[in-house]
Amino acid sequence: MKHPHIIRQALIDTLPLCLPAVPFAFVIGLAIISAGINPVVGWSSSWLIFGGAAQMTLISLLGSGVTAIAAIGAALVVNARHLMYSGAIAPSFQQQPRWMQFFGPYLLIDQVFALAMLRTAEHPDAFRIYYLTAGFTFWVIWQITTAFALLVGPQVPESWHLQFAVPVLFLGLIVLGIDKPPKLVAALVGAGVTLACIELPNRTGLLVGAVAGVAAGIIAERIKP
Amino acid sequence: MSPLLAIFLVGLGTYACRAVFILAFANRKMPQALQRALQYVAPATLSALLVTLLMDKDGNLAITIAELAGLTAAAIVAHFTRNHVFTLVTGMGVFLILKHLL
Repeated sequence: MKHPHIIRQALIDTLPLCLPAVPFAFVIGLAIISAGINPVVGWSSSWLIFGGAAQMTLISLLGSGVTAIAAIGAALVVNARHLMYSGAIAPSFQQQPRWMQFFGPYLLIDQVFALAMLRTAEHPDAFRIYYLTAGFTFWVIWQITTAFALLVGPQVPESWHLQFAVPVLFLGLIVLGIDKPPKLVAALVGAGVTLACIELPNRTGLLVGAVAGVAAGIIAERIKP
Repeated sequence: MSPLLAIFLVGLGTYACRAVFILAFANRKMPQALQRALQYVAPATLSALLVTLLMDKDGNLAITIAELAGLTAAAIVAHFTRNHVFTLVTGMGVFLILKHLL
Protein backbone atom coordinates (compact mmCIF):
# COMPACT_ATOMS: atom_id res chain seq x y z
CA MET A 1 0.00 0.00 0.00
CA LYS A 2 1.21 3.52 -0.81
CA HIS A 3 1.48 6.04 2.00
CA PRO A 4 -1.62 8.12 1.14
CA HIS A 5 -3.64 4.92 1.02
CA ILE A 6 -2.43 3.86 4.44
CA ILE A 7 -3.22 7.25 5.90
CA ARG A 8 -6.68 7.22 4.35
CA GLN A 9 -7.35 3.71 5.61
CA ALA A 10 -6.22 4.71 9.11
CA LEU A 11 -8.57 7.70 9.08
CA ILE A 12 -11.48 5.59 7.86
CA ASP A 13 -10.85 3.13 10.71
CA THR A 14 -10.23 5.76 13.35
CA LEU A 15 -12.94 8.36 12.90
CA PRO A 16 -15.93 6.13 13.83
CA LEU A 17 -14.08 5.15 17.02
CA CYS A 18 -13.54 8.81 17.85
CA LEU A 19 -17.26 9.47 18.17
CA PRO A 20 -17.74 7.74 21.55
CA ALA A 21 -14.62 9.52 22.81
CA VAL A 22 -16.23 12.93 22.31
CA PRO A 23 -18.78 12.77 25.17
CA PHE A 24 -16.09 11.15 27.33
CA ALA A 25 -13.70 14.06 26.72
CA PHE A 26 -16.55 16.45 27.36
CA VAL A 27 -17.31 14.88 30.74
CA ILE A 28 -13.63 15.15 31.69
CA GLY A 29 -13.85 18.86 30.99
CA LEU A 30 -16.88 19.06 33.29
CA ALA A 31 -15.08 17.04 35.97
CA ILE A 32 -12.18 19.52 35.90
CA ILE A 33 -14.62 22.38 36.43
CA SER A 34 -16.49 20.72 39.30
CA ALA A 35 -13.22 19.65 40.96
CA GLY A 36 -12.25 23.31 41.11
CA ILE A 37 -8.90 22.73 39.41
CA ASN A 38 -7.43 25.53 37.29
CA PRO A 39 -8.83 24.82 33.79
CA VAL A 40 -5.46 25.08 32.03
CA VAL A 41 -3.82 22.76 34.56
CA GLY A 42 -6.75 20.34 34.28
CA TRP A 43 -6.57 20.44 30.50
CA SER A 44 -2.85 19.68 30.57
CA SER A 45 -3.84 16.17 31.72
CA SER A 46 -5.11 15.61 28.16
CA TRP A 47 -1.58 15.72 26.76
CA LEU A 48 0.45 14.80 29.86
CA ILE A 49 -1.59 11.65 30.59
CA PHE A 50 -3.61 11.19 27.37
CA GLY A 51 -5.83 8.45 28.81
CA GLY A 52 -9.48 9.13 29.61
CA ALA A 53 -10.08 6.74 32.49
CA ALA A 54 -6.94 7.78 34.37
CA GLN A 55 -7.57 11.47 33.76
CA MET A 56 -11.12 11.19 35.05
CA THR A 57 -10.03 9.11 38.06
CA LEU A 58 -7.31 11.54 39.07
CA ILE A 59 -9.34 14.69 38.55
CA SER A 60 -12.55 13.56 40.20
CA LEU A 61 -10.63 12.18 43.19
CA LEU A 62 -8.52 15.33 43.58
CA GLY A 63 -11.81 17.22 43.73
CA SER A 64 -13.39 14.91 46.32
CA GLY A 65 -11.06 15.36 49.27
CA VAL A 66 -8.88 12.30 48.79
CA THR A 67 -5.17 12.71 49.52
CA ALA A 68 -3.12 13.36 46.37
CA ILE A 69 -1.15 10.13 46.88
CA ALA A 70 -4.34 8.02 46.96
CA ALA A 71 -5.67 9.82 43.87
CA ILE A 72 -2.40 9.24 41.98
CA GLY A 73 -2.33 5.62 43.11
CA ALA A 74 -5.88 5.01 41.92
CA ALA A 75 -5.23 6.66 38.54
CA LEU A 76 -2.10 4.56 38.01
CA VAL A 77 -3.93 1.37 38.94
CA VAL A 78 -6.64 2.25 36.42
CA ASN A 79 -3.98 2.65 33.75
CA ALA A 80 -2.06 -0.51 34.65
CA ARG A 81 -3.97 -2.28 31.86
CA HIS A 82 -1.59 -0.54 29.47
CA LEU A 83 1.10 -3.00 30.60
CA MET A 84 -0.98 -5.64 28.86
CA TYR A 85 -1.09 -3.59 25.65
CA SER A 86 2.62 -2.87 25.80
CA GLY A 87 3.45 -6.57 26.14
CA ALA A 88 1.08 -7.62 23.38
CA ILE A 89 2.23 -5.07 20.81
CA ALA A 90 5.98 -5.12 21.65
CA PRO A 91 6.93 -7.68 18.94
CA SER A 92 5.64 -5.30 16.24
CA PHE A 93 7.88 -2.54 17.55
CA GLN A 94 11.02 -4.66 17.19
CA GLN A 95 11.77 -3.48 13.65
CA GLN A 96 10.77 0.12 14.28
CA PRO A 97 13.36 2.92 14.51
CA ARG A 98 14.42 3.84 18.02
CA TRP A 99 12.51 7.15 18.02
CA MET A 100 9.32 5.27 17.23
CA GLN A 101 9.94 2.86 20.10
CA PHE A 102 10.14 5.84 22.42
CA PHE A 103 7.37 7.96 20.91
CA GLY A 104 4.88 5.24 19.92
CA PRO A 105 3.97 4.25 23.51
CA TYR A 106 2.80 7.81 24.21
CA LEU A 107 -0.07 7.24 21.76
CA LEU A 108 -0.90 3.71 22.95
CA ILE A 109 -4.48 4.28 24.13
CA ASP A 110 -7.15 1.55 24.11
CA GLN A 111 -8.45 2.39 20.64
CA VAL A 112 -5.04 2.72 18.99
CA PHE A 113 -4.04 -0.60 20.51
CA ALA A 114 -7.16 -2.31 19.18
CA LEU A 115 -6.65 -0.88 15.67
CA ALA A 116 -2.90 -1.45 15.49
CA MET A 117 -3.16 -5.09 16.60
CA LEU A 118 -5.06 -5.74 13.35
CA ARG A 119 -2.05 -4.40 11.35
CA THR A 120 0.83 -6.28 12.95
CA ALA A 121 1.37 -8.43 9.84
CA GLU A 122 2.13 -5.40 7.65
CA HIS A 123 5.50 -3.98 6.61
CA PRO A 124 7.13 -2.00 9.47
CA ASP A 125 6.86 1.26 7.49
CA ALA A 126 3.18 0.72 6.76
CA PHE A 127 2.56 -0.26 10.39
CA ARG A 128 4.27 2.90 11.60
CA ILE A 129 2.33 5.23 9.29
CA TYR A 130 -0.94 3.56 10.21
CA TYR A 131 -0.18 3.67 13.94
CA LEU A 132 0.89 7.31 13.93
CA THR A 133 -2.09 8.43 11.83
CA ALA A 134 -4.58 6.70 14.13
CA GLY A 135 -2.79 7.96 17.25
CA PHE A 136 -2.53 11.58 16.10
CA THR A 137 -6.17 11.64 15.00
CA PHE A 138 -7.30 10.59 18.46
CA TRP A 139 -4.84 12.95 20.08
CA VAL A 140 -6.03 16.03 18.20
CA ILE A 141 -9.73 15.27 18.76
CA TRP A 142 -9.06 14.60 22.46
CA GLN A 143 -7.23 17.91 23.00
CA ILE A 144 -9.86 19.95 21.18
CA THR A 145 -12.85 18.30 22.87
CA THR A 146 -11.56 18.62 26.44
CA ALA A 147 -10.65 22.28 25.81
CA PHE A 148 -14.08 22.91 24.31
CA ALA A 149 -15.81 21.39 27.36
CA LEU A 150 -13.80 23.67 29.66
CA LEU A 151 -14.97 26.71 27.70
CA VAL A 152 -18.62 25.66 27.41
CA GLY A 153 -19.03 23.91 30.78
CA PRO A 154 -19.32 27.04 32.96
CA GLN A 155 -22.20 28.29 30.78
CA VAL A 156 -24.34 25.21 31.48
CA PRO A 157 -27.00 25.92 34.13
CA GLU A 158 -26.56 24.31 37.54
CA SER A 159 -30.00 22.67 37.29
CA TRP A 160 -28.71 20.31 34.56
CA HIS A 161 -26.56 18.55 37.21
CA LEU A 162 -23.96 17.71 34.59
CA GLN A 163 -21.52 16.48 37.24
CA PHE A 164 -23.66 13.32 37.49
CA ALA A 165 -22.45 12.46 33.99
CA VAL A 166 -19.13 11.38 35.57
CA PRO A 167 -20.48 8.36 37.54
CA VAL A 168 -22.79 7.49 34.62
CA LEU A 169 -19.82 7.37 32.27
CA PHE A 170 -17.80 5.26 34.72
CA LEU A 171 -20.68 2.80 34.99
CA GLY A 172 -20.82 2.65 31.18
CA LEU A 173 -17.09 1.88 31.05
CA ILE A 174 -17.51 -0.91 33.61
CA VAL A 175 -20.49 -2.55 31.89
CA LEU A 176 -18.94 -2.32 28.40
CA GLY A 177 -15.71 -3.85 29.70
CA ILE A 178 -17.38 -6.94 31.19
CA ASP A 179 -17.06 -9.68 28.59
CA LYS A 180 -16.93 -12.72 30.90
CA PRO A 181 -18.35 -13.69 34.32
CA PRO A 182 -15.10 -13.35 36.35
CA LYS A 183 -14.95 -9.68 35.34
CA LEU A 184 -18.46 -9.19 36.70
CA VAL A 185 -17.29 -10.80 39.95
CA ALA A 186 -14.26 -8.46 40.02
CA ALA A 187 -16.53 -5.43 39.52
CA LEU A 188 -19.08 -6.46 42.17
CA VAL A 189 -16.46 -7.35 44.79
CA GLY A 190 -14.56 -4.14 44.01
CA ALA A 191 -17.67 -2.07 44.64
CA GLY A 192 -18.82 -4.09 47.67
CA VAL A 193 -15.49 -4.03 49.49
CA THR A 194 -15.09 -0.31 48.85
CA LEU A 195 -18.53 0.21 50.34
CA ALA A 196 -17.63 -1.97 53.34
CA CYS A 197 -14.46 0.10 53.87
CA ILE A 198 -16.37 3.37 53.77
CA GLU A 199 -15.07 4.26 57.24
CA LEU A 200 -11.40 4.17 56.24
CA PRO A 201 -9.75 7.61 56.20
CA ASN A 202 -9.13 9.56 52.98
CA ARG A 203 -11.21 7.06 51.00
CA THR A 204 -8.37 4.58 50.97
CA GLY A 205 -11.13 1.97 50.86
CA LEU A 206 -10.95 2.55 47.13
CA LEU A 207 -7.56 0.85 46.90
CA VAL A 208 -8.59 -1.97 49.26
CA GLY A 209 -11.69 -2.52 47.11
CA ALA A 210 -9.66 -2.52 43.89
CA VAL A 211 -7.20 -5.12 45.19
CA ALA A 212 -10.03 -7.30 46.54
CA GLY A 213 -11.79 -7.06 43.17
CA VAL A 214 -8.73 -8.21 41.24
CA ALA A 215 -8.22 -11.11 43.64
CA ALA A 216 -11.89 -12.08 43.35
CA GLY A 217 -11.65 -12.05 39.55
CA ILE A 218 -8.64 -14.38 39.59
CA ILE A 219 -10.33 -16.74 42.05
CA ALA A 220 -13.58 -16.72 40.03
CA GLU A 221 -11.61 -17.65 36.91
CA ARG A 222 -10.02 -20.62 38.72
CA ILE A 223 -13.30 -21.90 40.11
CA LYS A 224 -15.08 -21.76 36.76
CA PRO A 225 -15.15 -25.23 35.14
CA MET B 1 0.71 18.55 46.33
CA SER B 2 -0.24 20.75 43.41
CA PRO B 3 -2.68 19.29 40.85
CA LEU B 4 -0.13 19.88 38.10
CA LEU B 5 2.46 17.72 39.85
CA ALA B 6 -0.14 15.00 40.42
CA ILE B 7 -1.07 15.09 36.71
CA PHE B 8 2.58 15.00 35.70
CA LEU B 9 3.27 11.96 37.92
CA VAL B 10 0.28 10.05 36.55
CA GLY B 11 1.41 10.98 33.03
CA LEU B 12 4.86 9.62 33.75
CA GLY B 13 3.47 6.41 35.23
CA THR B 14 1.09 5.94 32.32
CA TYR B 15 3.88 6.36 29.78
CA ALA B 16 6.01 3.87 31.72
CA CYS B 17 3.20 1.27 31.61
CA ARG B 18 2.77 1.77 27.86
CA ALA B 19 6.48 1.78 27.05
CA VAL B 20 8.06 -0.82 29.34
CA PHE B 21 7.61 -3.94 27.18
CA ILE B 22 8.19 -2.08 23.90
CA LEU B 23 11.47 -0.56 25.10
CA ALA B 24 12.90 -3.16 27.41
CA PHE B 25 11.33 -6.58 27.31
CA ALA B 26 10.38 -7.00 23.67
CA ASN B 27 11.81 -10.51 23.55
CA ARG B 28 10.47 -11.64 26.88
CA LYS B 29 6.97 -12.90 27.54
CA MET B 30 4.94 -11.29 30.28
CA PRO B 31 4.46 -13.64 33.25
CA GLN B 32 1.12 -15.43 32.95
CA ALA B 33 0.06 -14.59 36.49
CA LEU B 34 0.54 -10.87 35.80
CA GLN B 35 -1.35 -11.13 32.54
CA ARG B 36 -4.22 -12.87 34.31
CA ALA B 37 -4.37 -10.28 37.09
CA LEU B 38 -4.24 -7.30 34.71
CA GLN B 39 -7.50 -8.13 32.98
CA TYR B 40 -9.38 -7.69 36.27
CA VAL B 41 -7.76 -4.38 37.14
CA ALA B 42 -10.13 -2.26 35.04
CA PRO B 43 -13.48 -3.67 36.29
CA ALA B 44 -12.33 -3.87 39.94
CA THR B 45 -10.84 -0.39 40.09
CA LEU B 46 -13.51 1.39 38.09
CA SER B 47 -16.31 0.01 40.24
CA ALA B 48 -14.42 0.84 43.45
CA LEU B 49 -14.06 4.30 42.00
CA LEU B 50 -17.73 4.57 41.11
CA VAL B 51 -18.68 3.87 44.74
CA THR B 52 -16.16 6.49 45.90
CA LEU B 53 -17.61 9.09 43.55
CA LEU B 54 -21.09 8.52 44.97
CA MET B 55 -19.94 9.45 48.48
CA ASP B 56 -20.42 12.93 49.92
CA LYS B 57 -17.71 15.02 51.58
CA ASP B 58 -18.12 13.13 54.88
CA GLY B 59 -17.65 9.74 53.26
CA ASN B 60 -21.27 8.61 53.42
CA LEU B 61 -23.03 7.12 50.45
CA ALA B 62 -25.05 10.01 49.03
CA ILE B 63 -27.54 8.78 46.48
CA THR B 64 -31.27 9.34 46.14
CA ILE B 65 -33.87 7.49 44.06
CA ALA B 66 -33.01 9.76 41.11
CA GLU B 67 -29.32 8.78 41.07
CA LEU B 68 -30.13 5.12 41.63
CA ALA B 69 -32.68 5.06 38.79
CA GLY B 70 -30.33 6.94 36.44
CA LEU B 71 -27.47 4.52 37.11
CA THR B 72 -29.72 1.46 36.77
CA ALA B 73 -31.09 2.71 33.45
CA ALA B 74 -27.55 3.49 32.26
CA ALA B 75 -26.32 -0.01 33.16
CA ILE B 76 -29.19 -1.66 31.28
CA VAL B 77 -28.70 0.50 28.18
CA ALA B 78 -24.92 -0.02 28.26
CA HIS B 79 -25.39 -3.78 28.45
CA PHE B 80 -27.83 -4.00 25.56
CA THR B 81 -26.56 -1.28 23.19
CA ARG B 82 -22.79 -1.38 23.98
CA ASN B 83 -22.84 2.33 23.19
CA HIS B 84 -21.46 5.14 25.36
CA VAL B 85 -23.57 7.92 23.89
CA PHE B 86 -26.90 6.10 24.44
CA THR B 87 -25.75 5.15 27.94
CA LEU B 88 -24.90 8.72 28.86
CA VAL B 89 -28.10 10.18 27.42
CA THR B 90 -30.36 7.60 29.08
CA GLY B 91 -28.64 7.76 32.46
CA MET B 92 -28.69 11.55 32.58
CA GLY B 93 -32.23 11.71 31.18
CA VAL B 94 -33.76 9.37 33.77
CA PHE B 95 -31.82 11.07 36.57
CA LEU B 96 -32.84 14.61 35.57
CA ILE B 97 -36.52 13.76 35.05
CA LEU B 98 -36.76 12.18 38.52
CA LYS B 99 -34.63 14.90 40.11
CA HIS B 100 -37.02 17.58 38.89
CA LEU B 101 -40.20 15.62 39.54
CA LEU B 102 -39.40 14.47 43.08
